[in-house]
Amino acid sequence: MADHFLFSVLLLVVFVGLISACTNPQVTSKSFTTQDATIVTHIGFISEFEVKCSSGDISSLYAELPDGSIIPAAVVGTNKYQVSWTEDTKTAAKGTHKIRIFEEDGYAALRKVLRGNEATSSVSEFFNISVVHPGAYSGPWLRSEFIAVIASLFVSYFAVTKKGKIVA
Amino acid sequence: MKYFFLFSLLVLPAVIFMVDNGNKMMAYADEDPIDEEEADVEGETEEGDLTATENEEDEDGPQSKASPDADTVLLFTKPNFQGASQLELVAGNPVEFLVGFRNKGPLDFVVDTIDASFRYPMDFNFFIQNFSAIGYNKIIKPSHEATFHYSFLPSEAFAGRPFGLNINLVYHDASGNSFQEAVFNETVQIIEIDEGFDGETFFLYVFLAAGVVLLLVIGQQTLLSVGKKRPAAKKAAPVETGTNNPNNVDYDWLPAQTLASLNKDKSPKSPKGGKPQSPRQRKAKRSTGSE
Amino acid sequence: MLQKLAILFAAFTVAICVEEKTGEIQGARLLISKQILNRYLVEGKDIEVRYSLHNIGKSPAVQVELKDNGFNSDAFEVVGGHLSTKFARIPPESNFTHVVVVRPNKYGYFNFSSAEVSYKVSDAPDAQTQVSYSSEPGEGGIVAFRDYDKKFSSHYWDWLAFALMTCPSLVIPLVLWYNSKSSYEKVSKPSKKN
Repeated sequence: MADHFLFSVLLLVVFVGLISACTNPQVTSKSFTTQDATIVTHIGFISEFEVKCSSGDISSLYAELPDGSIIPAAVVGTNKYQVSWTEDTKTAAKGTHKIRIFEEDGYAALRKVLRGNEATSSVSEFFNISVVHPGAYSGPWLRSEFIAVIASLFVSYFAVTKKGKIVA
Repeated sequence: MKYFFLFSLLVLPAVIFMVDNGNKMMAYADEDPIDEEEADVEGETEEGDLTATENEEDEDGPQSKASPDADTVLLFTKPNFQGASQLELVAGNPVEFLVGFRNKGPLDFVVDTIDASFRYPMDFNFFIQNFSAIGYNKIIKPSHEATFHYSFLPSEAFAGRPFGLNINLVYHDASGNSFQEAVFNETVQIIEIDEGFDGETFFLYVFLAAGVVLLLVIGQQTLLSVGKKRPAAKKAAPVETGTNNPNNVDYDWLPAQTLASLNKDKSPKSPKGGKPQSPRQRKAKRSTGSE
Repeated sequence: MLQKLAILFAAFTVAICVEEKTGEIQGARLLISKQILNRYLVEGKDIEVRYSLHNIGKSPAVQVELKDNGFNSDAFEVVGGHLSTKFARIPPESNFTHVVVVRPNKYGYFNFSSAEVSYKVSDAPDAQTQVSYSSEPGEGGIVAFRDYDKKFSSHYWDWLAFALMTCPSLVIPLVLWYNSKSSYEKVSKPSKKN
């Protein structure tokens, strides 16, 4: 029991420590999406971002994806994070996908809101990042075979009409 | 002597029987273990007191159960399954599940295979479809755990019926004891989802409709041309045999220039000026008809 | 106010104690699947690797470290994402994915092995660390780009070459016919004028 008490105190200390949270975050992000839909079945959206605080530390970050699910952001380095998800090549929309990032307290508020079946947009995010998907290449618009067939049809039509005129 | 014959009569069948029995044992050893299980349904009633081989099999059964040191868990990932209601699988869509294996014992475990099978829901000994066993051969050290991924495709022919789905995990420990555990052994419903709008079939119908329209157009064209040709020929016939050219000359065969020059020559002399133009008109009609 | 805080505090400790007790039986449990989301594995083209983490336990998984040593740095180039990551906390009964895109430099058969994950089974400071392995996508053949291109490229150049090669047999008769036609018209036109 004693160690539990100790742990609780520790937790309290941690919570107190959280008060000195990150202020004025400077976020630099880059995004990557797979663009060749001919060989992959799903489009992968990957966003990597770096957060610099003018003061304080960052607690663990959570991200709200465009489809509404909330996932923990992966820590890939000091103050560097990655958020990634996949979508089916058919349903993946091109354009900018906005991701909202939450801190620990924002996440707690978010969970409360979700429990009450309310819209998550009421919770203000820590910051935003966007992933740009320029659209995936899913094969040529016209198959070359099709073009060849059309061309040959055209040539043969021309030849047949000319021949018909000569014979007539 | 008589007794000897009688004795041999008794002994010979016994010898034959014993030899025969030995052969049977060998045949049993060769047989597929799955067949053995399938035969069990009948075997329990008909071959009630079989020889020692059968009994050995029966003793083997309970021995290859799950190990108490192995903690397995199953999670369906493709049709999202909460575990509350009966699992529903969509026919023709792949089903994916994960099997988690945690080693709680002091010995290494080796996970050999996972296989899934559809069985008759009333009697799980009756196999309907066996999916291939996937070999993993993964060593799991004590207090480690591993995940295994398996996917199969329920056939579209099975839609609308309940099936007993059995997922079997086969593993052995470092000391060579083999275990097998049915991680999932429940009745599942296979359902059919008809997609409201399928682009592929839609365009197939569009293509078919276009083909029909094309055929109609071609048919109309041929009918029209045939219909035009015939009246023209009929009209032409009386003209050709008519009184206007008593020489019975078919002017169709002459090139246009010659005709023109002929007409030029004729026109001042002939009393009926308009009529020699008729071949030209005919020619014009022909050309429109043939095109 | 202080009383309220004390009550809250007490409730919190009790909750932790309860969790600790049940945590023994129902700690965090992660199922990790590693999947390759490709139709074709092609040299120099993207290979999409998806790690799905499912926490099916009753308590959160803490200090989750995912590391995939399966992609050798001289055979694969990581284009997007990171092969070794950490997650502070995975809440119970949740799942999410982590995506990494790599490009192979070589072709041939490659055995996609499992990723290694370690996590603590609960929030408790003395929670044991569990080592877990993801599922194995298994062996896959990476096709050389040349072979892939042969099979799936648009073949525009091939068809252009074909058109050029068929040109003589089509154009020569056309030219011959056109010459004769124009010469005939030259002959016939003056006759008409006369």
